[in-house]
Amino acid sequence: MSEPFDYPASGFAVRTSIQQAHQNSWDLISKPGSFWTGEERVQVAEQARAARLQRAELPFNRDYPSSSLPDGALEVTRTIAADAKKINSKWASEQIALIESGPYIEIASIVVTVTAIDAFSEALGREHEVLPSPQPGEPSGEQNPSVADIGGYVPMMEPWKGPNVARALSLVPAANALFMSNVQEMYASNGGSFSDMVWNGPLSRPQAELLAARVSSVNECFY
Amino acid sequence: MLLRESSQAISQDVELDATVGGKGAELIPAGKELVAFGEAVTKGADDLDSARNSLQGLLSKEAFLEAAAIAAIFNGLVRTADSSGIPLDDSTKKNSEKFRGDLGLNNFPGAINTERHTQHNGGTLIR
Repeated sequence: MSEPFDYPASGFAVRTSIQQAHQNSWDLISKPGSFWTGEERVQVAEQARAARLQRAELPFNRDYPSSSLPDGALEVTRTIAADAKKINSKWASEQIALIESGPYIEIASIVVTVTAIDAFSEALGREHEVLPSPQPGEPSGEQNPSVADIGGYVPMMEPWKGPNVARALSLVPAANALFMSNVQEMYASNGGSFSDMVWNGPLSRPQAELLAARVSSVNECFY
Repeated sequence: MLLRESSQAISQDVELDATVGGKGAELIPAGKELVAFGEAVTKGADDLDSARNSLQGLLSKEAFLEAAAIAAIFNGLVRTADSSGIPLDDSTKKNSEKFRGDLGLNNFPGAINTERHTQHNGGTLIR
């Protein structure tokens, strides 16, 4: 059986660092996190994939694989994957009251990571990677103590240096690392750094920013 | 913000219009094709194959792979921002005030989070 994310075998000379980031992400998703088991995390990934693939459908017309996740976790997973632009303070408060902020952020990190990796395959025109098999173990319970209410739905690290968005998931360090490792490799490329905003990629900076801004706009993302 | 330093990198108004579906993308090499590709990846549109082929015809293999990576990771980044409700930092909020208004970005649902942040800090509302 070939290793996951064998982009060269699909005819794409994807940088090794991106391939490794994706492989590492799959491995991390399959393991226990801070609040969810490996089994639950892979179920989040499965639900997120299914929801995003049906994002053009009305919510009541979507079908999902069966799952043992709590209802609140399913709602959070599917909404972030397929209807993120509809999220508001009221909805977030209701979900966080059900599952608590740390587990909420951990789910968000899995959803956004699967979204980015699946979207990359779609952009290239290749099949989605098979989701990983869950690994045993118990969640660590680790949460960042150095957080404050800065006006978001959840506490975030404060003070903070670097791009502001990079602290969005900082309540749960492992969750933040899962996604930001992909940001570092997929956006700040070729020795550039997301933190330093150094741009060395084969696209010009205006080309990259035009594309990024259009994606944000189509998603109706204010941020 | 995710439109972020594009206020510097894409400085002309006509090019900023292109980010919200307006004209001006053609002023950047392969700009129209990059916009179409980003839209197709984001929407999961039927024309993704066509958009991909058009872009691949204009860019080097390395540049196309980078475009694919950027389109993909920004579909994750927007969900990060929307799900966490992270407000704009103060300097970005100030520096982006004009083009947010010009482009209608303040009408996007997540704008309320930065309003809440401003109120949270006792400042002035941005709209």
